[in-house]
Amino acid sequence: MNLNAELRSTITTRFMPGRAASLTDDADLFLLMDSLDVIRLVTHLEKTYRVEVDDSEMIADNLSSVTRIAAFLERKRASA
Amino acid sequence: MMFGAHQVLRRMGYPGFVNQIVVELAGRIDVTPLRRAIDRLCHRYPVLAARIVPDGLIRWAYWSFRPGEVVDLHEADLDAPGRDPVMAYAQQILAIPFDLSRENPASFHLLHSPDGRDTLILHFEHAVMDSNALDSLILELDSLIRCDDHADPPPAPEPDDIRNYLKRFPFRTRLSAIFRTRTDPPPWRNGPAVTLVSRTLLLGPRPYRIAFREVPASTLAAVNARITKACGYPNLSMGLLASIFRAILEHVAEPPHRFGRLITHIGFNLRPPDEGDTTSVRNIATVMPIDASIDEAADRDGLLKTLSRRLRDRLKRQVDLGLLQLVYWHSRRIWFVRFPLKTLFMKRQSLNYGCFNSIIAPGATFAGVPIEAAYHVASTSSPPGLSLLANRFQGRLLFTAVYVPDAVPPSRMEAFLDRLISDFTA
Repeated sequence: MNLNAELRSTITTRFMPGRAASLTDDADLFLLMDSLDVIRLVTHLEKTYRVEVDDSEMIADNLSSVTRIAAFLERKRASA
Repeated sequence: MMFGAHQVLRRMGYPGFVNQIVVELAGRIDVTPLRRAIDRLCHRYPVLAARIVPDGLIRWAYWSFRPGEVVDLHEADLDAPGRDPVMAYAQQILAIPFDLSRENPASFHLLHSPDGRDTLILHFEHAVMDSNALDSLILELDSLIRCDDHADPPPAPEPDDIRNYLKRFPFRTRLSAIFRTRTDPPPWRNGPAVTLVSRTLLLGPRPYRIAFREVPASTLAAVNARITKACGYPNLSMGLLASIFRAILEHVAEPPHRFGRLITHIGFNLRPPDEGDTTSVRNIATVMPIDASIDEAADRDGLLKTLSRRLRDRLKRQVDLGLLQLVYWHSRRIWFVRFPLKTLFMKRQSLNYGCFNSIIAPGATFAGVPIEAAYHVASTSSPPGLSLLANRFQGRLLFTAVYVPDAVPPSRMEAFLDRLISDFTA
């Protein structure tokens, strides 16, 4: 499973139950998820992918879609 | 566990841990298919018409199922149009204690307004489910109304079992939750809570009141832009909590202690990791404490950042399994579970439970009629005498504050809500 598919699966089962069909790679997660779920998602990313997300990195460019999260994780891994 | 919470509140003189979802419709709905759909819903979820039988020393209680029984659908004609008569009805039934050993833990109420609108209220005891389960339940009821009379209803989800539920989480996660239960100091140890509620503990049945406020979609979009600018992303929940804390501080019941803290518990939807799209009539929320000092509340956007950081820190340190922690207590002896529950309800907190719901699932229509508004209402358990819920529905923010006027005078509640809205939207 590639990273995008893995992230989509995690987000739909954990944070968007009942709305799986509405999630595409470029869908705006900030419109689809609670802000508390965004915080939980970041905590989940930190634990699962072993990255540190600074407060200043919690921005739309990094987190607002599956594509952006995947790119953000790749950048974090590359810089680690 | 929630039955334990119900019992603790009942002994304090409150009707228990009672919740509602209110669905305001733009027109009339046909009662016959609604009644039939409710019957089918009860066959799928027999817990809706079950009884809770108090047990002896080892267990709190157990469910007693009654196959074939269904919950009631009450109809009432309102005297006047608008939301006020709906709120009057809602607060009246909210104040009637649930006797869970003798009556169903849930009931439906269909209110007919003279202007041709209907309002559906699902009134239920928290022991059955929490607000996170409600949206999908209303959606399922809608699908049962719309489905063909002669068609077989879709299969009911498998009955939930708490042990299986817990097993879905990794062993280390469960172990960590238990460890944190025993080691994490609650925020009220840092200082007395600043609250709107008068210090005198009120006992005995009291009338409830519901105050309502609405932030329109255009204003909420501007608030989201402001919060995104301050925080980097639209952290609406913490932006809201920051304004709630600041409004509490302005309309506090008594001058706060210099070490006073603004304290609440944040509710999280804790659906198990591998669960798909199934509806769940059960409690799937967890709570996590969060607090701020009086000094930190001076700057609104600074407080927003502080609360966001603090919540992230807690989530990092303390696995997000608050419910499991309470279940851990529950799995021990009865006197063990009493302690955290009594602490939760009797210790003074600014708000016992910060519940920020997004009501998304009900969608645009119910039984073919457009939904004008949908929101949750909760009994006054937060702290005893006050509950405040914020519901996001179709881009709007709907506040429902349920309070006991003897604990929070109406003038203070109205001033608090006005201040909250002005601070939040400024």
